[in-house]
Amino acid sequence: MKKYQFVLIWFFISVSMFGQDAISGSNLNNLINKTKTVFQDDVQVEAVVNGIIDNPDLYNNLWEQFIKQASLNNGTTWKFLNDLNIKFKNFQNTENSFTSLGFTYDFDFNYAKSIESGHNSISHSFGLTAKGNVAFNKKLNTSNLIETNINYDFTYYSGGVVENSDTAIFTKLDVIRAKLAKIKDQHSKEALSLLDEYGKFCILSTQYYCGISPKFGFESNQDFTKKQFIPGVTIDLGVKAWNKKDLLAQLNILDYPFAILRLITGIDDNFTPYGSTLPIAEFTFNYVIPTNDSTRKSLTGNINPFPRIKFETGFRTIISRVEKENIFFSTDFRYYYEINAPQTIKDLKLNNQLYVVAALQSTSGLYVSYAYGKLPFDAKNDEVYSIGFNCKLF
Amino acid sequence: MFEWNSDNKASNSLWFAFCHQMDQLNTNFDDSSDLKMNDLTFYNPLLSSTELNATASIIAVQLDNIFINSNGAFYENNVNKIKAISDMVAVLVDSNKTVKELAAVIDNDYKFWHEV
Repeated sequence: MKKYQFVLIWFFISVSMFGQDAISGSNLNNLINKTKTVFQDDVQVEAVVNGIIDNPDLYNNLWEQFIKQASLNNGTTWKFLNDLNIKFKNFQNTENSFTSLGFTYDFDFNYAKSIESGHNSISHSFGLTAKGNVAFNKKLNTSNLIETNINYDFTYYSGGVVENSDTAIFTKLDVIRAKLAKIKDQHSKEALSLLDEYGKFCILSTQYYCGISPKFGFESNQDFTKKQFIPGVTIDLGVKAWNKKDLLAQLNILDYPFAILRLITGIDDNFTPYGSTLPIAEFTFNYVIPTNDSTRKSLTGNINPFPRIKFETGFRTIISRVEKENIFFSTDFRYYYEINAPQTIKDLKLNNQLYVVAALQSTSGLYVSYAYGKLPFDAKNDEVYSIGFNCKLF
Repeated sequence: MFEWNSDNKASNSLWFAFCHQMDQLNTNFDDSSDLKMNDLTFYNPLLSSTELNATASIIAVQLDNIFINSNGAFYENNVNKIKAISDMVAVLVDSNKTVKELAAVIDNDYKFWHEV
């Protein structure tokens, strides 16, 4: 797109939407007329005008005024412009001194809605992000990448607490919380008595969670001659038995060994598996576009995109408390499966990869960990601990 | 400037929920303010960012449940459920943020029962 065409289109939109007085395009005409009184030669005038037209500050000022007028004249219709950042600038490559006017843009729009129905809550959120650089002379565009991402999140929650609407109970619970906050020893008789009283009026329940997040990414250069589509979807499923008397909490066998340790070390007064530590399961379908994967290239002869399924779950619970140090046990399990993998990848069993890591961690940062398996090449950045035993202070 | 004290409704509601209802910490009120998010039980540093985010969302939703449905709180002007939860998640996933900082965010978004 030529910059003159761009300027004309922009002025046309601005004038038709907000009226000629609203936009200071007339300032430019005044400037040209004044320039003509100083320079008699049309070539000199053209050189001066071109210098002004090539100045990014002119467009940045016009854009700023455009946004201001848009919000003053019709704030609702043009509200989305508040999410759009446009910055005009000159592009120059390293090979020569030529410059090209252009702009960089960054659009981040989010919309969310929540629907409540009894103990259930459903929320939808939609996000559109776009960013890129456009040079009017594309040969001078040193950052020729346009990225557009569309996110949609669906979440469903159910349960968590039995609803209360009695204002006298709100007051009673408020008083108990304030009293408990002033007690140093939360295992003292006074504290336990207050907690018993609190439990009569506030009943927690099991909470269920489901989240679905499809993601659609699109990358291209500015004239769209090179483009790639990056789809993916993540599904999270979770359940938390916040009430320790709930059967589901009692069935959290993952926490049994640690419940015994908590009982021995005095954190808990009884054998109490925590329903709050029930793990979340996450399923992800990704269309992986490898970059820089020399191993894959040497094995398959190319780095073509491929579909992959990932499953992940994790667990963390407290084991003990020593002085002011909490000791936690944490673990994470990931499984990756490449769909329709090339035979060479299958032969080397790289089409399904397992990664498990477990760690003992203290509040001050001391940890011991053990990891088994490997993460796929493109997910290496997610690797927190290496194989073996580590001891790190941070 | 937000102050962590036992008479502040956001502070004592958050501490009580974390300590006695959600198994996230086991310290008394005074010792809880400077605990960081990665000192809480939910914060598993081994998780991928997407799963940690989902875990933090569950914690935030349950806090919202407790504040609204059990404690009688309601949202401040220009705040709704989605904003309140989103604000809490932003703090919960940041390992260096403290419980006190989370309480400050909650104090901004909720009007608690009998809060002056």
